[in-house]
Amino acid sequence: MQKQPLKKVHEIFWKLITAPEGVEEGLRQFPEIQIEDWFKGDEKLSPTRRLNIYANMYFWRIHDAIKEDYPEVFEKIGEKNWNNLMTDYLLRHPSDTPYLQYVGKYLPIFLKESPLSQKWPELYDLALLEWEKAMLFEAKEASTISIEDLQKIDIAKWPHLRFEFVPAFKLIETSKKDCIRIWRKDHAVFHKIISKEESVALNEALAKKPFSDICEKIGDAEKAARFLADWVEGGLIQKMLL
Amino acid sequence: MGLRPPHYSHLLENKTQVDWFEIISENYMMEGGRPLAVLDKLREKYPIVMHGVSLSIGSTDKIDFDYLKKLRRLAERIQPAWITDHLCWTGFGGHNAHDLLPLPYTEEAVANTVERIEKVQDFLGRSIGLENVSSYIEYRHATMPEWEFLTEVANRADCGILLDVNNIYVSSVNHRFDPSTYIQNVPADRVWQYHLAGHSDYGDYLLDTHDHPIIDPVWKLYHETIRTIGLRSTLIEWDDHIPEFSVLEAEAEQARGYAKTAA
Repeated sequence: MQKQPLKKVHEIFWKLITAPEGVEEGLRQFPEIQIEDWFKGDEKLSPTRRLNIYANMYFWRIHDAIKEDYPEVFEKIGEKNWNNLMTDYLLRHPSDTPYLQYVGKYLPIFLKESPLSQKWPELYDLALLEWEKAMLFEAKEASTISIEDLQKIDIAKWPHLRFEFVPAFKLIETSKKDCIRIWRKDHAVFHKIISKEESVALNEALAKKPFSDICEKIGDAEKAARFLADWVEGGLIQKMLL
Repeated sequence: MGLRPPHYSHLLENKTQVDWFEIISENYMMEGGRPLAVLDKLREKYPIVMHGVSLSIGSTDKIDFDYLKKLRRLAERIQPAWITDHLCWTGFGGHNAHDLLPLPYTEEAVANTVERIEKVQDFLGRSIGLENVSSYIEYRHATMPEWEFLTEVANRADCGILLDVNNIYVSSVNHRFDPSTYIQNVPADRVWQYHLAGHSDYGDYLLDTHDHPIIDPVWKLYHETIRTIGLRSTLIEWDDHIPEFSVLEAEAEQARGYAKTAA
């Protein structure tokens, strides 16, 4: 048997096991290759069947991992659509990460362009929410301030107060321009659709603008204080900066 | 025992007979969250071993130093007894299969793998151990059997071996070799740890699924292994259809029983 360079061996193996219609279809890319010259088989299992074991494991392991991150999307579109979606998704976005849990990161944007979104227009928003929630489960821990900490601040200093949010917090905007805040508290992840006013206030706060700017932006200091109290109680703020 | 999320609550609330835990490194290489918090807690009570699946040590792609930095950071955090991964490749052209793909057993693959192990060990500042994988295909141009490849790589790279007894059994059925020959030809002084697991029988081949109890022929091979190579830390792997913790403890106890008779 002729010596085959390692890189070429890997390339052929990879292309065969990732071919969307299976190894036999993948072999058509390489008309110069006689598969028996590259891989061993026997009367029980041909080289093609043996490679198909890897092809199946490649597809189904990733399929199942992404399904875990998007249970509601899966539930909505059903198994058949999901299987087809995963085939198309892996063709466009083969894993570019060593971490199986991140392979599905492009799914929301992929769904935006998918024909499935014509039948279910809410798919992008649903997927985006599921993905961002999954990511918050593993965000860095941070201590948070309490209402008592806030109350200790001299009232005269409030206009200058700025805030640092915990890493396990995210503000997302849906395709319908709804704002959702997502946060983790005690290892549980929560989400809440918020008012336009609160999203404006949050964006100001996230940009580290002082409390006086937040009040001015929404034109209601009392409401801004209520938002702030809600964020503090939710465990969204880790530091106050003066 | 392998540390798996379905057992977190049980392990935090109960005393166990487990001597140590093995983690899948990639499941803890994040910034925070419950898995890391649980790991920190359990680390206070148990020794931990890190076992990765994405090092891709036999790859022809560039070494992923960003991955290695995260691996090193996790090792600094939990101070594992040792770090292991698999003697295989997992991707090509910057893409990952998330599977343990078999290497051709050739001199070129030995040289490539040894060079990469040396770089990884230099970066981590410690030796690593590599596990033999289950395989379903062999390359026509291979020039040596798997045990010779494993031995050559371990000796030349000066690294450890995590000997998976179930994987030897699975590959021996799939490729029709004598598993005893494998055991007898592994350099005993390089073996750090054993793995045991269940697999699935698909008639024409065995698949390493980690979702069944260990079968008797694998227990028998384990007994032969510890008599031939010697006693080492032994881990029972379950990754799917994970049973109650008590079932795993019973399997661990069975492994201890074999160890006593071999001692």
